[in-house]
Amino acid sequence: MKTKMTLIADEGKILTNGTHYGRIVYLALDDDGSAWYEITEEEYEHILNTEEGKFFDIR
Amino acid sequence: MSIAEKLKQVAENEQKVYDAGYAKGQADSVSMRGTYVINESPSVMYELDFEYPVGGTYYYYNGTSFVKGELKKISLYYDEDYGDGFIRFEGSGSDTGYWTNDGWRSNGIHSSDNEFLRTITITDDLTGALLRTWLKANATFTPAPADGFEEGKQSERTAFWGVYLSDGSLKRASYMFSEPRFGSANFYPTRDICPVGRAQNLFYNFGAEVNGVKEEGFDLRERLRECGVSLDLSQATNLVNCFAYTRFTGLPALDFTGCGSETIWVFENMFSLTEIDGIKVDADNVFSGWFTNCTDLREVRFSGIIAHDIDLHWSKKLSRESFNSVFNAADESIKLGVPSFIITFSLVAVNNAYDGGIENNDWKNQINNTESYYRTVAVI
Repeated sequence: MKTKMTLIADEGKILTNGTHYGRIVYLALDDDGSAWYEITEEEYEHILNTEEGKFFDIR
Repeated sequence: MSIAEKLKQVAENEQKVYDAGYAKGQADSVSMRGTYVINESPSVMYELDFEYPVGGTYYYYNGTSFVKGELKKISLYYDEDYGDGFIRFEGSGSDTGYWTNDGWRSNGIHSSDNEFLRTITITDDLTGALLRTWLKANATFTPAPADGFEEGKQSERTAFWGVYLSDGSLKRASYMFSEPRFGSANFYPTRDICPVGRAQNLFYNFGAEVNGVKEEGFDLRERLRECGVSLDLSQATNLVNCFAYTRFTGLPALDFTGCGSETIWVFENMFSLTEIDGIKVDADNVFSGWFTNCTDLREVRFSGIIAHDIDLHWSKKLSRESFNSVFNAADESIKLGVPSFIITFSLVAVNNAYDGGIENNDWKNQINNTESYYRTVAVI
């Protein structure tokens, strides 16, 4: 029997493993979820706006 | 019927006998034609008369310089015996010009080169277009801009692309079509584009600014079709930043299977991108930064194998077919036994593409099928 896990972030929170982000994370079998933790949406926005060279609007 | 045959048929109906003194340098009148003598051996000259547009201009050499005159008539002569011919222009000037393989000459006859013959046999258009082409081949004068400017521009464009693209197999093609050199105003390739080897930044920031004007998005597929050429990336070994920061709205089918892991940031910051006809990948390709800020992307069709993390969460308009192609390519990696990887989608895109969003049965099947055990899917 195999068990798939799904992580769902609490209201106002975002799940992350440090490099990837999601409100819902459907884990692969070899991902036990231990690497994932919650951050606030504000923290997530901050990451989006400050990650160097990644979200750069040249328009 | 070949040009030569056409000429012969018309000339046979209108063949005239002219002053034999023509070839001896005595001809200086626009009305002089006829059987002429070459090296004392008589030859029969066939003549086809046709009218150049009234009022068209040409340049003739009066012995000192090129002078603009009004072209009244153009005649094409083909000497069957000699296997050669020439064009004669009749204009307002007292001189009559002849265009031969040796160039523009006054009162000249023709050269011994057969290039002219080949020219008239490959085109059926014995009109002013042909005349202008030959006129432009003469490098010793500059025609007035109103006369043949577009033709001149096309001629220069063709010459440039012939050199720039060489035989189409482009080695060391990095930055080849990148800013600040290229934009939609001057990107008119004349042969297929096939980079070989390293080709990172191939179109990087293409069209950022042309003549001081910010480039608007345009569809690369349409331009390639317009030019009758294709883009083949299958032999490139490095396509990092290939289309990054461009304003392309559409891209043709692309093949990254020759690049291994040298594929990061390929579509980064393509804000205007809406469609990619096809993306062929293999288990070695990595997708870091691929779709960063591809906010308008709707249609993408993956084929091959996705075996590394891929993030499409910026693309909130992604179609159902696009979702399916990502899942299908990801499923292919299972056969290889690769470590699990993470696919990230936009929750807004899921809600738009699947009725009921994450409660949709098709979505659930994608998430819960056997293949899904080997990949993590994040939705944000």
